[in-house]
Amino acid sequence: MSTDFLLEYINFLFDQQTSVTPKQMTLISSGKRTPSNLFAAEKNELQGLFNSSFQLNEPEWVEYVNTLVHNKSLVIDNGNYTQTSYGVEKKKAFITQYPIIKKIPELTYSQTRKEFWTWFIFVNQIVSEYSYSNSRYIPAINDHTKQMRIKIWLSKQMTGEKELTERWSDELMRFLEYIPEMYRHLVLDQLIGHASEGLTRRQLSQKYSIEGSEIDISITHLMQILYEKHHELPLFYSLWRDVHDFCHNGLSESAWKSMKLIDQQYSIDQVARMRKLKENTIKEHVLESVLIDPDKSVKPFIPESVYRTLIELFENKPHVSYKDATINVEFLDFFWFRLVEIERVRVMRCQQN
Amino acid sequence: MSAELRKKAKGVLSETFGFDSYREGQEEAIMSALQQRHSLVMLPTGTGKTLCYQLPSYLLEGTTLIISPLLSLMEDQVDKMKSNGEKSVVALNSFLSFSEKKNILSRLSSYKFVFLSPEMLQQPAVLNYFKSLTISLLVIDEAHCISQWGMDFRPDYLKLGDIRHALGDPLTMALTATAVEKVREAIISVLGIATNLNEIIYPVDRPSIQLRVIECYKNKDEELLHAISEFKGPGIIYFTSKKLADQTAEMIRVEKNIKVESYHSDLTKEDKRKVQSQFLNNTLSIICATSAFGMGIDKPDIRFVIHYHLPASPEMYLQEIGRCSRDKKGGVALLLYEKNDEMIQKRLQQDTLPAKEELTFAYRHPGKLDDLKEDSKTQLCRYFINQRVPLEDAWETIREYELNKHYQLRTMVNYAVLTSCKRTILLNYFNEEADARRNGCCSFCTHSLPLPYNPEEPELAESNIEKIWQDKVKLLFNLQR
Repeated sequence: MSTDFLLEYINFLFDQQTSVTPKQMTLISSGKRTPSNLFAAEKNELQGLFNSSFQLNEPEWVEYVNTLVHNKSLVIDNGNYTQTSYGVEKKKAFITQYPIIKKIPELTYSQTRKEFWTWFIFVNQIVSEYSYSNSRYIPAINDHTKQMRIKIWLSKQMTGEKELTERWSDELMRFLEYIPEMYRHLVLDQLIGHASEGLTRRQLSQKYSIEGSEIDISITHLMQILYEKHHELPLFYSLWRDVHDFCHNGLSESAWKSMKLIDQQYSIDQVARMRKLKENTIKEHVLESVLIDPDKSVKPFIPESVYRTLIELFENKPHVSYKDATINVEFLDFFWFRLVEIERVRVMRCQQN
Repeated sequence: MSAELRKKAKGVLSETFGFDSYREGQEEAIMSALQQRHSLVMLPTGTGKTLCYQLPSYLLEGTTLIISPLLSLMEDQVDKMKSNGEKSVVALNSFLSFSEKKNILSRLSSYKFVFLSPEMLQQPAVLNYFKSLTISLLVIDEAHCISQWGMDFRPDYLKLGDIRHALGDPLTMALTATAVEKVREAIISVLGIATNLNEIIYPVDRPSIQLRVIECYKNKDEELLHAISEFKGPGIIYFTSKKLADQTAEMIRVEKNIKVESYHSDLTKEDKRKVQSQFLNNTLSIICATSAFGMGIDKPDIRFVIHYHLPASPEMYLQEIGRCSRDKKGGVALLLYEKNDEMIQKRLQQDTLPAKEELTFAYRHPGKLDDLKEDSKTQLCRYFINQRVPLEDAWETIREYELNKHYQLRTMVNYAVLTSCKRTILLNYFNEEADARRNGCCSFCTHSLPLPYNPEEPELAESNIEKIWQDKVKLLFNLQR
C-alpha cells in the first residue's frame, strides 16, 4: 500500500471539469447542504468528495493540493486548482492500483453509504448471533430509534431465523466475491458477531499497513459497489432502501419535509405558508432536492416560457451568467436560472461521455 | 413475612439472574428494599451492586429510577441489562433527540427501569413527568458524588435531596463502593433518609489482592516490562495521560509481542466497544487505559492492575485496583512511583477548581458563565450562584474541598513512600483494620512476594497467516457447509 494514498486519492477526485479552491473542497467534504455548496460539488464533479469519510481543514487542504501542484498533478489558475495531463496519468495508475475506487456519480447516497455501513455491521451481528441461537449480546448500535427501525426491517423479511441466516450469508459471500481478496478480509475483520469482536482502526491499520483514512475511503467505495450490485443482492438492497429512507432520501430533514408537501402538489408559496418558512427557504429545499437527486426534473418548478428561453440562451452561450440572462428574461428569478443551470451541467456531461 | 420475602427473592435470583447464592451484602440490601427501608449500601468494587436494586425491583410495584453520574456508565448498564433479557429499560440522557425524549417520557410507566442523570431530573418539565409516576425505588448510584469529601464531587448531586422530596420521598437506595464516614454522613443528610435507614457497610479491603509499590528512578518502563513478564495477564495498566497510554501500549507490543490495546476518550464508540469485548473474551491480554476504562467491566479473572501514575485518592485507587481478582483467585495491584509524581495530580486539580479571582468574577458577572467552556470550574461557580451561597461561604467550601483533595493525595504519597504496611496505610484512611490474608500482604510486609495466582501465558500477537475468507464467513454464521 502506498503511504501517499490520501494525496493520490485527492488527485483521483479531480476531473476535467474540476476547478476549485481549497475552501470549496473543505466545504464540499464537510457535507454542508447549501445549494451553492451542492452545486459546486455537482459542477466540479466532486460528488464523491461530498460529505466524505475523511475530514481535512482548509490549511490541510491547501497543503495537500499544493503538494499536488508541486508534483505537477495540479496547476493553479486564478486561485482555482485544476488537473494537468500528468495528473490524469497519475489518476489512471491509481485506479489500476486500487480497483475498488471508482468515480461516485451522484450526491444522493453520501449519507446513506455511511449509515448503511453501521446498520450492515449491526444486522450482521444480529444474524450471526441468531445462527448460534444467542439472544444475550450487547448490540453494536444502541440508538433506540435505529434499533426499532432495524427491528421493523427484520420483521418485514417474513422469514425464519435459519432462512435469514442463509440468505444473509449467501449475499455476503456473493458481495465479497465481487471485490479483491484483501478487501474481503478488510470487511470481514470489521464485522462483529458471535465470538467475533471485530478489529479496531488501529488494529486494522497495523494489519494492513494502511492509514485510517484509507480504511474509511475503502469502505465508502465498497459500499458504493454494494449499492451498484443491488440487483444481485436483494436482501442487502432492501436494507439499503430502509437506510436511505432513514436518511431522508439524502436530504436534510427540513428539505425532506418540504419536498413531501411539494410531491403532494402543493406550490412553493403554499408549502412556505404551511411550514411557516420563507419562500426562499423552500426554493433552497427544491434546489437541494434537484441537486441530490439527478433524476428529479426541474421543469415543474419553472414557467414553461422561461424554461424555453433559458434553454435557448444556454445553447447559444453555454457559460452565460445570471446577470446576462436577466437581459433576456425580465424578472428572472435566480432560482429558475440555477435550476436550468443544473440541468445544463448534467446534459453537457452526458454529451461529453 | 421476612422469610416469605426472602424465599421470593431467592426465586428471582435463580430464575431471572441464574445465580444460586448471593455475594456478600447483596441479600441485606435486597431485603432492605423489600421491607421498605431506605439503605446506604457500601460494597467493595466487584461485589455486584447492580443486583441489589435490580432484583427487588421485580418484586416491587412501579418503576425503579436509577440516578447515574456518567453517561457512558449509564449506557453500559442499559446495554448489559438488555443483553441479559430485560427489555423494559431505558436511559434518559442528553444523547437522545428531543422527539426520542418526548416519546420516552410519554410512556414512562411502561418501563421497569429508567436510568437518568441528575441534571436531567432538574429540568422542571422532566421532573413533572416523574412526579406522576409510581416510583418503586429511587437508586442513587455512585452516591459519593453527593459529598464534597468524596472523590468525584458533583454539585448536581447536592440537589438530589430536594428532587427526592419533590418526588414524594420514595424508597431510596444509595450505592457506593468507597466512602469514608464523612461522605456517608453527607449522603444520608443530603438525601434526607436518616429515618428508617439500613446502613449496609462492608470493608473496602480486598484480601485476595496483593499490594506492591516500586519506587522508580527514571526506569518506569523497565520496571513495567519486568512486572508484565512476571504477572502475565490479563491486566490493566492505568495512566493519567492518553498519549502515554498509547505510547506504552505500542512499546509493550514491540517489546513483548503481547496483544495490548490502549483505551481512552479519544477512541470511537465502536472501538471502545471492540477493545472491551476483546479483553472480556481474552483476545487481548492487557489494556493501557485512562480512568475512562473499567466502570461496568465485569471480568472476573483480571490478575493485575498497575498504576503508571499516582492516583488522586485512596478511593480512586481502591476502585481501580478492585477490578482485579473478582473471582478471588488472587491478583496484584502495583503502583510505580517516582519522586514528584504527585505534581501531575496537583496540576490536574488546579484545573478543576476555580481560583478566588475566577469565583469573584463569576459572582460579579454571572451572565458571562454561559460564554465560558462548560467545565468543572464553570459548573461549580454556577452551582454556588444559583443556590445563592454567599461568595465567602462558596470560597470557604472550595478551600475545604481543595484541602481534602490535598489530604487524599498526601495519603497516596504516603502509601507510596512510607516504610510501613501498605494495606494498613490504605485501610487507616477508611478507619478500617486489615484482615488476615493469604499469599503475602504487601511489598513492605514481605520482601520477596510470590504471585498469589498461577500465571498463564498471555495472548501473543498473531502471525501473518490469514484464514481463508470463506472460513471466516462460515464461522461468523455457524455454517457447516
